[in-house]
Amino acid sequence: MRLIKYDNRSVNPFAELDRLFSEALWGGNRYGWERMFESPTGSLRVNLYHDDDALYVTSELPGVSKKDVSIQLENAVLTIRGERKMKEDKTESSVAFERAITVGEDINADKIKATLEDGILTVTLPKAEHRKPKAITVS
Amino acid sequence: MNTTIAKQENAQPSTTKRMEFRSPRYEVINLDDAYRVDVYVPGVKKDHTQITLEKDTLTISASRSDQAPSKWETLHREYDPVDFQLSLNLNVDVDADRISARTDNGVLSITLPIAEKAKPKTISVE
Repeated sequence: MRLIKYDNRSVNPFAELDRLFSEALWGGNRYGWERMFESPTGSLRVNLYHDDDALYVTSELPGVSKKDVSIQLENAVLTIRGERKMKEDKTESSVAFERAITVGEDINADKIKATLEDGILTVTLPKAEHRKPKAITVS
Repeated sequence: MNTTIAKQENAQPSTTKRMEFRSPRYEVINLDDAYRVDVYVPGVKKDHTQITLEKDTLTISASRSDQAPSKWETLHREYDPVDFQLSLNLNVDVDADRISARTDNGVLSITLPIAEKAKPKTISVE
């Protein structure tokens, strides 16, 4: 027996439109995990931020453990790779994801940090010393 | 007194705040005498979820705490860190008193035990 009578998406007035579009564009009505990673440009949605000190890349990775994520910086391309493992009784399955981002800024590669908290991945890419804004005092 | 003033300064107009949410992805897993609903709520801390069961409607709302610090300037945005809201119409009688929930890594797992009267009964022939 099904637990859910029907998908009551009434909280979002545009849900039906979204569904029609996704059916037309992606060829199917997918509510599952795989849709989580879809983005127009890759398989993982990211937000990019910066401040004076660093660039920040954040992404939603609910249910992914730390050990299943790997981050690499090579030739100014930051690659986030990983997989989400699902265990149901005896069967195991996994969904892999990958995203590459070109970093157009000098980065202090030795000081890159990444955290995964409550399903949010945050990669901190500190800007190279000579690229940080400097206040020069008039002597 | 101080805290009240601070809160008001940070508060956004309530009308815009209320409209900003999206429905999370979820999965239903059939267990032996229960159903488990896994709701993907990235950026939500443990005690920031609210689950209510009214008649046969299960409503889940979760508020995120991963908003970018104000000094971060957005360069590119592919997802909106807005709160989650989901409402599900249950087809099965569940034991409301024994519903349990836990969050782990941004996944909210709600276990809904099937009510005694809704369980299949085996009748043995005498």
